[in-house]
Amino acid sequence: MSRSATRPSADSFLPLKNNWFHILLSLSDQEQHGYGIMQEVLERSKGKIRLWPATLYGALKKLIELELIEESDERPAAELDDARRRYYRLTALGRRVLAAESQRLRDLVRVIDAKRGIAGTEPAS
Amino acid sequence: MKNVTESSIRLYRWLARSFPEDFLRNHGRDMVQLSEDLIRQEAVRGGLRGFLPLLLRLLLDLIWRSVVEHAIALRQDFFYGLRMLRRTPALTILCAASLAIGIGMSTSSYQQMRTFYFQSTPGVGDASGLVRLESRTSYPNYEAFRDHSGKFSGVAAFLAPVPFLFNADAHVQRVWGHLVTPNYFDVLHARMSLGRGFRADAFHRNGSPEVIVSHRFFENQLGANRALLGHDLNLNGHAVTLAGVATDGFLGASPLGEVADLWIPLTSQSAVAPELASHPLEDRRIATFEVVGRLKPGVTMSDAEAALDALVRRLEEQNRDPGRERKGRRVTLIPGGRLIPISDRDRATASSFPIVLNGLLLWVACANVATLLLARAAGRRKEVAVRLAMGASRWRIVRQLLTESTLLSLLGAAAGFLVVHWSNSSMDWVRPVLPEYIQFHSEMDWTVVLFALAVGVGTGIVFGLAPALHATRQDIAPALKDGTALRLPGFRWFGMRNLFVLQQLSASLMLLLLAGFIMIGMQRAATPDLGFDTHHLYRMSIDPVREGYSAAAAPELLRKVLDRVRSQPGVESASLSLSAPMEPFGGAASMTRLKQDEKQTSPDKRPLGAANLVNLVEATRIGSGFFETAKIPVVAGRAFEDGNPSDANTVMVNETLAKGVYPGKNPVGQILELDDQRLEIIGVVKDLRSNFLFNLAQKRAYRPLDADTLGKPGPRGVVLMVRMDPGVVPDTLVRQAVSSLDPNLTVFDISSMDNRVADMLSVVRMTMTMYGAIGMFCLVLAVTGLAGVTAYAVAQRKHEIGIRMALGAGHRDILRLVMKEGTVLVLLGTTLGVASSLAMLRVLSGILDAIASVTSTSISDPRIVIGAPLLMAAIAMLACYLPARRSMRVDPVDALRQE
Repeated sequence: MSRSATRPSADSFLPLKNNWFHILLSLSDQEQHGYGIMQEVLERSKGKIRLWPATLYGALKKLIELELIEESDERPAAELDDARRRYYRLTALGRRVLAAESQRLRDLVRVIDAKRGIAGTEPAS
Repeated sequence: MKNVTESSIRLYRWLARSFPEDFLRNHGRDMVQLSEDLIRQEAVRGGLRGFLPLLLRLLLDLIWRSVVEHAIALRQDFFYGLRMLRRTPALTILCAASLAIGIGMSTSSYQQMRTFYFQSTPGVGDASGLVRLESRTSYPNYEAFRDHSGKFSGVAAFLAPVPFLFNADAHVQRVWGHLVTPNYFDVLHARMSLGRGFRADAFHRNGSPEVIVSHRFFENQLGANRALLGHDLNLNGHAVTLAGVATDGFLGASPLGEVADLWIPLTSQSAVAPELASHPLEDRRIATFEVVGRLKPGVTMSDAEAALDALVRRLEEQNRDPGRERKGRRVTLIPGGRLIPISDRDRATASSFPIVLNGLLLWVACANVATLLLARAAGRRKEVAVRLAMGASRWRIVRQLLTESTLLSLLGAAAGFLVVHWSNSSMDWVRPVLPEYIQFHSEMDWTVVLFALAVGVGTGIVFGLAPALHATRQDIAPALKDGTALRLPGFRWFGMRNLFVLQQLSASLMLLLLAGFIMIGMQRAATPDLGFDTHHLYRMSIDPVREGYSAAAAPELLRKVLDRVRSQPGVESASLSLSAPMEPFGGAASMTRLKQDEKQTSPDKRPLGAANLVNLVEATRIGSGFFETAKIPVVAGRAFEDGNPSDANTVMVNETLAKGVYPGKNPVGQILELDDQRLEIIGVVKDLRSNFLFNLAQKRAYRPLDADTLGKPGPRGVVLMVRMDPGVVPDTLVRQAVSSLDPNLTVFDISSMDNRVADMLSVVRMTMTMYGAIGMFCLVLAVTGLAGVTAYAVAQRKHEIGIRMALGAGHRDILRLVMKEGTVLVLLGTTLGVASSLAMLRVLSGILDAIASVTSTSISDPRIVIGAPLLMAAIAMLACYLPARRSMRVDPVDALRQE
């Protein structure tokens, strides 16, 4: 049985787990190591989402098994490189899953916007 | 602060090691690094206030994730294991089936023992606080226990069994009851379903004694008529007042041995209960009372036992008891609230045989699975090698293999429940030996389920470990090349595989032999040679004393009954006695053999504890014609004769007593002392099987049935034994003969000896079938195990065989090579099995009389001692030969190409 025949469709991963979405998002524009992913998610969420190390690497392990991300052999520019750490990047499947999840979220926002005034998006005042 | 930081990091690193190995290898270093960075940053940035919450979060995160990762790994192992088991369905089914039988049999045996030994007496409350005296004692002793021991919150005594004649509408019925102290129900915490318990004086206002009846008696005999409460019933021809009805199910303190439907206070007059005629309440020599007590909170059974023992010794001193100097315990207590009243020690003894047998069965089943797993592990060498080469650790693979074997045994345990269920429903076969009113609730409760699961998981791990360790201990390279390291040893003595086969063979043979010994022994015991002729022989009981005859008139009536019955057409012969063959023999008596010079001295002048005290013998009373009617041969001397006055101080003994006490001498004419009575032996008779199966031959003495004995027979009345002509049934014949003398006299407990034997034989046959099944089962297991291992050996040595054949070895040489190992194993295993089973039997016989008596003849039976090992060896050799023959078909070219 060939690998492509069993490759799952991107939609089968949706909705994506919150942690997984943030990890994939962090890897969308560049390869990153675990520390980088943690920092980016922390900043992007303004400190609300913190991926603790064991949780983070548990998720990375699962994402590798699902072939959504992979370890990268390439290294960034020497001055930015941290030789101790492993770098991760999105696979093609991972990219498609991220796109599909983003689209799902966009659609969701559109639905919420259409219902403005009901869904509690009014200012608190 | 620096120390704190470093210690925290060390702690984190240490805890991180708990992660599964796969995880650690791929992500462990990065995870620890990241956490270290965070810890160091926080330590630099701020003090302890920020540091501690961070550390706590990190550790929680670590621990939680570790648990999750382990669960994931276990799940993977589980599904992988399931796939592996499905890939070899025949092996899986074989393993699961043998485990199912092993686990099922041991679980159901555990459950039955639990039910049997721990079930509380029905209707008794707080059963665990009750204790009982193992042997009977006198009423004055009971009073001392009640008043002076200080260990009990209540002590009751009772006299049992006591038959009562219940007269309702001129229809007389024999009902068993107990004579009890008024506090009997209070001590037992047995409730009333109607009415009330005894009052302290146990007399009704109208002056008649009170009676309490069982619930089933109230429903069946009194028509559940509540209006009868407070009114009189007619018992033994006297009025007693119905005070209450006991709670449903309550049939007395000892329903198994002495079931009761009536309870009457010991304070009643002797007219109501003739048992009280000899004033047993005052006489400290009459030790006929059973005592049951409820311990005070915090008092243990051994405390109470010690207190009572001391009390009895003090009483013996006070009363200058002639036996006060003797050694040994006076009082032994046993649990009082259990249906089977035996001490914990006896229970352990009695359950030792089933435990050994089931343990062996379980062992053989597990050993078989282990052997098969070992063989299978060989077939998976490549898979294991690949995984090891990919970097999996040995522990990881061992865990995987253990998961598989545990899965297998859980599968077996699940299937074992079917066996338990089946055996529960077939538990009915023990019913014939138990009275029908005893209900054993043989239900699976959680401890039974837990037991089976524990056995399942335990065997999975214990017996999966060896094959797993074996499979992972190998060189990767040759396994990957699909070849074997070329070794040509002639014979590997103590390879794990051989050890496994060896222990399996010997354990199976041991089980086969034990089962065989029991089976053949039972078969022998069940052969018609019971010591008497059962055909056309009947027994029945009459009890004139209880039906109103005086002690003086009863013997005359019984003599007339006997004459009348003997003169009936169709009656070959008849006799009176206190017990019939195959029934409890009567009482025990202490017997003394007198030396020549002591014959003239009187008993009280002879020193106590003299060397010629023989021991207890069983003694009963028989009338003339007893041996003739039962067809028990008199081997020396003569039997008792009708109206021979010189029979008064004589005794007859059985061969066991004669040989045991007078070896090499003629016992006839010897004098012996039985319970302080000097008697002359006039005859010797052949031994009689007493308890049919489980009893060694006992020393027995027969004394003539005199008028005194007939005047106060035991609770079971007088036995009339009749041998009829073929085709004639005695029931109506005897009833007519009896009623022609007294129309009110009842004849009860009529049964044919042939039927009694058939009843017991059915139990024996079931037991034999069970042991036979166990024997067959372990034979099959041993054979499959050996065949599997030989097949494995052939597969493993394929390469070697190929080389030998290429070098010119013929088919016969190869067959001999393969068979040699098997033959040595079979011979060794057989020898070991025979030796250990004989040793085991000796141990068990020492513990259990029943085993000793059943196997006493079969232990030397050539059918088993030679037959079973031969059969086992023959089949084992066949199991070796079939796979070995395959070795001849090895194509040398093919085998060598694999290198």
